Amino acid sequence: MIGYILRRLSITIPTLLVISLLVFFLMNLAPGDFLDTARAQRDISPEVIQKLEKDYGLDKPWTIQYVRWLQKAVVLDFGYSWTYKVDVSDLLIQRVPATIGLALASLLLAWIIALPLGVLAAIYKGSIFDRISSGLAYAAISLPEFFVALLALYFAAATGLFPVGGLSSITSDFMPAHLQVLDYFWHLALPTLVLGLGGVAGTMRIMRATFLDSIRAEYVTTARAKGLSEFTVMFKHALRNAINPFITSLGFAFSGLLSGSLMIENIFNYPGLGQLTYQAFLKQDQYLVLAAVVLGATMLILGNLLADLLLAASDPRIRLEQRLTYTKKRILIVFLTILGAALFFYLLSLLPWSSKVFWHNLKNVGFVLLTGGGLFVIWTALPVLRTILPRLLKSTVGSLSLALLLLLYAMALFSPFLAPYSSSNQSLSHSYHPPTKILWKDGGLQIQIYKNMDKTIAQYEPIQDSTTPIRWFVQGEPYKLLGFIPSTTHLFGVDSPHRIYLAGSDPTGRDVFSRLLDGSRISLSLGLIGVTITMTLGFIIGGLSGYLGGVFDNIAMRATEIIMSIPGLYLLIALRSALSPFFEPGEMFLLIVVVLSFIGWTGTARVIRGMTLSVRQRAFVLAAESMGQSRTRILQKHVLPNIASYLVISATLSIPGYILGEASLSFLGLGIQEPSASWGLMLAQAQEMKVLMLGFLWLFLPGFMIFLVVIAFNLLGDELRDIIDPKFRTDTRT
Amino acid sequence: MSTLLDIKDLSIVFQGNGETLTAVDRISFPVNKGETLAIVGESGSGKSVTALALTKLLPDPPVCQVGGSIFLEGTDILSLRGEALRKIRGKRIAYVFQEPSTSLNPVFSISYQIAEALLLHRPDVKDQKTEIIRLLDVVGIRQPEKRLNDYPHQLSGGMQQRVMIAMALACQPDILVADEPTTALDVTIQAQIMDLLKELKTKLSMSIILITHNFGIVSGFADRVLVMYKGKIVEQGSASDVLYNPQHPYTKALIECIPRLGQKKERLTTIDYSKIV
Repeated sequence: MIGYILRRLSITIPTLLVISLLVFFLMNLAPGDFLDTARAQRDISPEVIQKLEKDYGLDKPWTIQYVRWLQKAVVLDFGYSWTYKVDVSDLLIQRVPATIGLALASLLLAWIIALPLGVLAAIYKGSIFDRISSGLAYAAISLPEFFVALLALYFAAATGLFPVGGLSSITSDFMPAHLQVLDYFWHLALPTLVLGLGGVAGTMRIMRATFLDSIRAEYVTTARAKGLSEFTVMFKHALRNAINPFITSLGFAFSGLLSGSLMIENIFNYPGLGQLTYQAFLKQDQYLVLAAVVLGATMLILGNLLADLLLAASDPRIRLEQRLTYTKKRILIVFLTILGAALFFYLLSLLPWSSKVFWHNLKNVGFVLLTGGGLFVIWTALPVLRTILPRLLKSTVGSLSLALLLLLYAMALFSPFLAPYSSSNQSLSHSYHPPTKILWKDGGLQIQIYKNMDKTIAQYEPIQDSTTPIRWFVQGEPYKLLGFIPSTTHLFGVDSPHRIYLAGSDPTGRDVFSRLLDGSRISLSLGLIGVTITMTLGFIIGGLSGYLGGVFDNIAMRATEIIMSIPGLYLLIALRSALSPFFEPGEMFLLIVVVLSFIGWTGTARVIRGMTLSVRQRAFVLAAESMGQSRTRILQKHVLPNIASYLVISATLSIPGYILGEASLSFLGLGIQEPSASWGLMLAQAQEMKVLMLGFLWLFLPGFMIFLVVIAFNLLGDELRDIIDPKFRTDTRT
Repeated sequence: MSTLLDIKDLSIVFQGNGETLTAVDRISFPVNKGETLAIVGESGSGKSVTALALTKLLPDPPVCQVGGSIFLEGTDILSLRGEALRKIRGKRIAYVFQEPSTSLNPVFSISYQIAEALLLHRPDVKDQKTEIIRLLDVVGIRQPEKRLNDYPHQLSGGMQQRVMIAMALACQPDILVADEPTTALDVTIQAQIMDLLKELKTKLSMSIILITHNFGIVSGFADRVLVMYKGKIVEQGSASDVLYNPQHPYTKALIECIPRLGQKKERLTTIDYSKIV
């Protein structure tokens, strides 16, 4: 047992090494370092700066810096945080308990609520309780966490029942001990609830599915035939078996919590590891970032190890000592892998990163890859879609979600025509204007006119009997329809100086409805483009990996493992900060696509690899091989069509990930920038204390839109899966 | 011989997706004390659901509706519920199922699974461990004291089936229902398990209901045979009568299908359903 743990821990060392290399490389890719703020200050002389650079080794190439860091890191000295002016280890020790506390509390909460619910839903499968709870769980997994967090903050502000963020009250230090503890939990409550909610939904769905599986097992009949009571049959024989697959999901749950806590900690201003890491990224506090990411990855790996140990304790069929023997050859391979990774990053760093021509070419290559990939994806997906579409249209859920998505895409396409204003059209006298009321008067639609009663709290009152008609097909701001047809006609509008706000206005009086339409173009197109890129990459890498095996497979799989052992949002932010200097401000969209794709391909690649492996072992591939057909032809003619349908499902189900990824980045201010509109960016406005206190609820609409699109894609994907492979039927219906 | 179990007009109907399927259609037969009754038929003939219906182990209505009555010494099992029903399951009628690897719960040790039955139906047994060892010894598991804490996956298929039998015997049932007990095992083990059942039957004087699709194992084992086809009993009688003088064309066809040593044939015989009325 202890031997097993030690061995498991020892194999994480190479992973951690390569992760630290990757982060170090990324941090040094971007120009500038943590001394930038010091350099900008006039009163610090160049000599002092030079001395500091020498002290921190910044005058040396990054490889030397890394080796120096590594030497110290081995003895757990992670360097000095320039921003906080303390040792990184001290800082981490301070912050880790808050994050672990939050993660464990929400995990516990999720389990306490979700386990009984899942079991009951399975036992009373098909009942009203099952339908309602499964439906709610489905909706909850499509809700972006940060949106829920905002709603919770609004709830806290509106009712005063909970503190609006923070770890403890300002007066906490003067409280007696028992009140301090209460105060701690009072502050922990909302973040835990929000973080736990996503967990509840996911956990409940897993529990329900695994419990249903074990109820149907034959040993349950045996137990009944013995004369055991129904209670013992269910809660001893069935439940003990249902717990096992559930424990496996613990590892994943942990990783999700770490990423989730970054967002939640930021929104609730909760001083944990996530918030610290985020700040460190922004300030290029190199050693702090490095230590935090390595720590995050370690926690994730430990979480997985813990899950494996628990599983082994719970399931007698699993034995721990599995193929983990050390041979000289294996050690050599690990050693070579690390060396190879180091060499790879070194070579990468030699590329002319700051050269404009290089980036221009890289972008062109990317564009070609995207076009080719797009064509390829369409080419593989079309035959599948042709057979599926008629069946999809027959199902209510499938056709409804498809119709909703088509409507949203059509709206996005014609957004400048549908929107009365452009997304940057301000009117400072209409700050936080509530949604305009529409009336039927004098044989036409008219809008109510409002007067701003108190500018400080944006209090608008309708003026009695004062209305102005809505004009149809009015002339307004110029735009290019579909990107190339110049036009000035808008579907509707009102006469100046009045303004129509179907969904209220934001602090600068911009129309939220127009911005929602404009933002939909980003969210909706990003999902498709991101999926195209990652499908192409994942398909090529995963397919080759599964088909060729050997060294290629080994390298590709180790790479995916490393990317997957970094908490997702950490990596997202790291990549984004590293690459942002090389993109023009207007190319933010492109940058986000690149960053999201870099993370996204791993999951696809692993799935495709697994499928290729299983298809490959089937007799017809063997038959083709025995006929002497070439590998490319076998891949193209035999393997591809067999996994194309899975490709379609997996693509549909991974689109929400991209939409949420962009929204998260933009929400944190790292994605789409003002004055452009994106749903995540718009939602960030709802974080304002003013919005929360005065309840400008229309500013929460972008979150609702994200939810709508995500749930539509989820439903569509599940429906496709049910059609293509009834084996995986999720059993939401009887 | 006195009648132990009397099945009258038993019918089993499944419903789902708007379709109804009559799995068993008003069958009646007795099970006598100490006899071995073999129910023979092909897959889907209704023999396994009949076995499960004996202690109401089928899904609840509306999915599955069971009609008729099953009298065990005067009480109709089908009218029983809850506690009263559970007193019959395991205690009076015990089961051995087809697939031991999935019928044993993988997360509990074998001694626990046997003890569970003991605790429930024979609380008077003081020394459970000795009794479990005795039972394991009876079913022919070598060094049973060393096997107590084994989990099902640590045993071979034949051993697992022996554990299932030990579990069924633990409560000294009057009737042992063996639902295709050897189908999932390889041929040499099949013979061992059948010999074991035969031996136990005489030793413990219980009745055995053997469900099988294989006439081959019926011949040396059963006292009486009941042939089922499409949910109906098409023929019943003493084993020798049915085997050597079958009346119904289906029974004849089934017996034809048994491969015999010394017979020179290109292909095994199959049933030509067009000839069965």
